[in-house]
Parts: sequence; C-alpha cells; structure tokens
Amino acid sequence: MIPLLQDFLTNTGFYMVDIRHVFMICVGLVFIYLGIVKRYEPLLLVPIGFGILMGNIPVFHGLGLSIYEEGSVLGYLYMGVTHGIYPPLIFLGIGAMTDFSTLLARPSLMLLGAAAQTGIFLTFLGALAIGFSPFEAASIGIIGGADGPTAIFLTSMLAPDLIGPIAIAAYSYMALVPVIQPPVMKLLTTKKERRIRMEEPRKVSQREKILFPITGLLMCCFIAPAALPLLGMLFLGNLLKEAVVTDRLAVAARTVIIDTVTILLGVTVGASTQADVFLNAKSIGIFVLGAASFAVATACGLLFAKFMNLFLKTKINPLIGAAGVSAVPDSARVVHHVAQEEDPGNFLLMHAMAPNISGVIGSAIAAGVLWSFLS
Amino acid sequence: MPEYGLDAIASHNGWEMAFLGILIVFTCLSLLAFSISRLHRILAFFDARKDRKSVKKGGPVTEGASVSDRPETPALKGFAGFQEACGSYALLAEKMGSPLSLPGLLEQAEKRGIARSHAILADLVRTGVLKPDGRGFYVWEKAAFEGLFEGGESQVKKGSRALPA
Repeated sequence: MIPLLQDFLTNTGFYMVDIRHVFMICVGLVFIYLGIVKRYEPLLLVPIGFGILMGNIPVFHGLGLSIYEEGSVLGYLYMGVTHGIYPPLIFLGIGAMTDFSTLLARPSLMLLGAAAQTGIFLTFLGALAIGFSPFEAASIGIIGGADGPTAIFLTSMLAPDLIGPIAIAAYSYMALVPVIQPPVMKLLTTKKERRIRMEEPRKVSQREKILFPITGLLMCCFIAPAALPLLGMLFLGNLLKEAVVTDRLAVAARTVIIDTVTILLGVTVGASTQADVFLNAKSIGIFVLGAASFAVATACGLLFAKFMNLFLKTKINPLIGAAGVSAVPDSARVVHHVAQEEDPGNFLLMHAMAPNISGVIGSAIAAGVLWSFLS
Repeated sequence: MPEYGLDAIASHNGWEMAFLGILIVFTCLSLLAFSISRLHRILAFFDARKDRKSVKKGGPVTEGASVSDRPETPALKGFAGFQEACGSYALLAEKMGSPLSLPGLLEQAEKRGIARSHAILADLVRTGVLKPDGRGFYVWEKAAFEGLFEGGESQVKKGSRALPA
C-alpha cells in the first residue's frame, strides 16, 4: 500500500511542479485578471489565460494529457491551430460581423491600412538582423499586423514551434492597444492635428455592399493568392451578411461559429505555452520584437496619414492612421478616445473604422505575401 | 551558425522581400480602393442605362439614377418579429424624447427583451428612421418610419402590444 501511495504522490502536480510552472500559472492568472477586471479583450484573454493554467499543470508524461503528446484530447483540438483551420473560421465570423460602409464611403482611407502594414516588414528585417531564421522572422513580423488569427495562421505555416509565444504576444498586444498606442499617437501628432474634425461619410447603397466582398476577393486574391484562406473566408462572411437572403448563415457565422472557434483557439493556444517549451530566450525576443512591431505599425499609419494631408484639400485627422493596425475595433476606439481628450465633440470612431478594417485585409495580404515568398 | 545584423538581412534576401512585400500590399489595397471608389458610379451608370431603355419601351423610370439616393430596404424585413420590434422601438424613442442617444435606446431595448435589438436598430439607422443630428445624437423620423412598411401602416399600435413592461 505504501508504494502505491508513494507512486500516487510522485504523480501529483505538487510533486512535479517547478518554478517555471508557477511563473506561467501567474501569467495565466494575469490574463484572466486583465480580461475580467480590466475588460481588456475578455473574449480572448479569459480562454487563453485559462488555457495557460491548463497547459501548465504538471502532468505525468505518457498518459496522453499534455497538448504535445500524441493522442491527447488537447492535442486533437490543437490541430485546428497547427493546421491553420481556426483562423479562416474566425475570419468568416469577422466578415459576417463587419460593416464595410465607412470603407466604401471613403476608399482612400484604405491606404492607411496599407501603410500600417509597413511595421510588419520592418520588424521582419529587425528579427532577421538579430539572428532569427527567415521563417521565424516573418512569423514575428506579422505580430505588428495586430491580428491574432493572421499571426497564428502564418506561424502555423512557417514556424509551428513558435505558435505559442507568437499567439500569446499577438493577443497580449491586441489587449494592450489602449496602453501601447496612445503614447505613440501623442508623440507623433500635434494638438491641432488631433483636433481635426472629419467630414460625414456619404451614404452607401446595399448593392455596393454586396459587390464589395466579390470585388475584394477577386482583386486581392488574384494579386496575392496566398491570402486566399483568410480573405476568402472574410469576404464570404461579409457577403453572407450583406446578401440578406443568407441571413441565417451570417448569424451562424457571427455567433456560434466564431464563438466556438474562439474558445477552442484560446484554450489550445493558452495550453500550448507549457513552461518547458515556452520559457526560453526566443520567447523573450518575440515579446520584445512584437511590442516594437506594434509600435512601429502604429507610427507608420500615423505618419502616412500626415503625408496624405500634404496633398489633401480637406485634411484628415492623422490619428485615424493609427487604426491601420487591424485590432478591430479596439484601435479605432482608442483613436476616438484620444481625439476626444482634445475635443470632446470630435467623433472619430466611424472614420477610424475604415483604416481599421482595411488593416485586417492588409495584414492578411502581408501574411500571404510572406508565406508565398518563403514557402 | 546564425548570422546577425545587415549581413543576415542581405543573405536571406530580407531587403528585397520587405520592399516587395510593402509594394504588393500597397498595390493591392490601392487597386481595391480605386475599384470600390468607382463602384457607385458604375452602378449609377447601369441604372441610368436601364432607365433609358425603360423610357424607350414606355415603362416606369426608376427614381433617381443613383442607387445611393434610394431609400434602403431593411435587411431584417423578412424577420417575422420585425414590425413588432420596430413598433417597440418607436414607443421607446417617443418615451426618450428627441434627440436621443443611440446606446441609451439600445440599452432600453435590450432591457425590454426586444428581439434582435441590435440588428433592428442598425436597420432603423440605415433606413433613415433614426437620423444623426450631427452632434452625436439621433432624431426619430416619423415619416421615414411610417414609410418603412408597405402601405404606410403605422406599427406603433402593434408594437405597443409587444413592448414588455
């Protein structure tokens, strides 16, 4: 009986735990705290935080409990991440939720979404310079797109070993948009610029909204076919929404499908951060470069908006350039709040949604381009 | 041995990939922006052509060449509880007075359990029943509301039955 009891005790988490597990469990608790108390992206941070707790409970290897063990339940669920299945499904839901009217009303604002993607490529260069392989550097650079599903998709294709740290970095920075972006915005704009009010956008017809996803798909995927899995689903979701006759499918896409996939993605990405795999020098490098990527992308969008103002008769508020990173709708909301700090009557949310949505398209194209360059 | 610095970038064709990547993203989004900026004009052109053909045949002419000038059809008009929900919204708007806050109206609708409150509110904005007053608030356009339903029948009475206390 004593040997049995000893066996049992040596198989408990309390016996096997080490400082790395404790550290990662603390990280998970911080995520849950930020999601529930601070309300930073709760739909993502709570499942990811809980997944971190699940992934860092020390388990006896060989029982098929760990996410990295063959035949484990978590391992099967994780296949949706490693095979790039979840991100396109999330894009389907995003498409079915998103109203592209502001973008259609003022298409020139799409360029801000393109400019913000410059951050991806600059970070790619930075990551190459500090010794990451091209595959890893591309996966790190895409964090600057501030688009979790895109980052996971590209990483699953190019550097599957880095999915954990990259997904955690991407979602952490997306949640920290209200902390990271405002200092960059204030640093690069004057008070006068932040007070610029923008014209009311024109009304967009239903037919334009229906034609947009079709045009978008054909245009973008003919130029960058590697963006097809993400953009195809994004535009399909939007077409389902705008076509009206497929309302049932659109409702399914923007509710049950995206919610289910978000839970599975969050938990499995969280669980993939097992201390022995996650805590290493590469992860630290990824976090530092990810933050830089995000700040650079914000700055690129802002500076391009200022550049556009040199040629425009009716000036645009350069703050909306910061929304070119695709953290929808958080970065648009942050732009709105920063503008309102200077002028409470200035409503930029609607205008900022245009570069914000084009950022989603732009980051998917950037991911497709990097994938096709490196595959 | 991993390489570092500018040598690493150059040996992995980093400069070329970054430059081409930025160029492709810009080209793609610029072309998309250009094509969608022409979209409403193309649609208006086809509408005008259709009207010209219709005039030749002696048929009815569409009101205005531009599609964007026409009132939009509510996306949820096919939804069974649409009229009831709109009626409930009308009552709520009347109760809140004019101009009203959109988040406030939505909050009240959600409290009262109006079916698909968010989507129907979006429809009311899209169809011009709720019009922005330019200061962040909205005004309930009674005429647009009555014109929303075929035959112009006001749904306020129907809605009043559905509005939970």
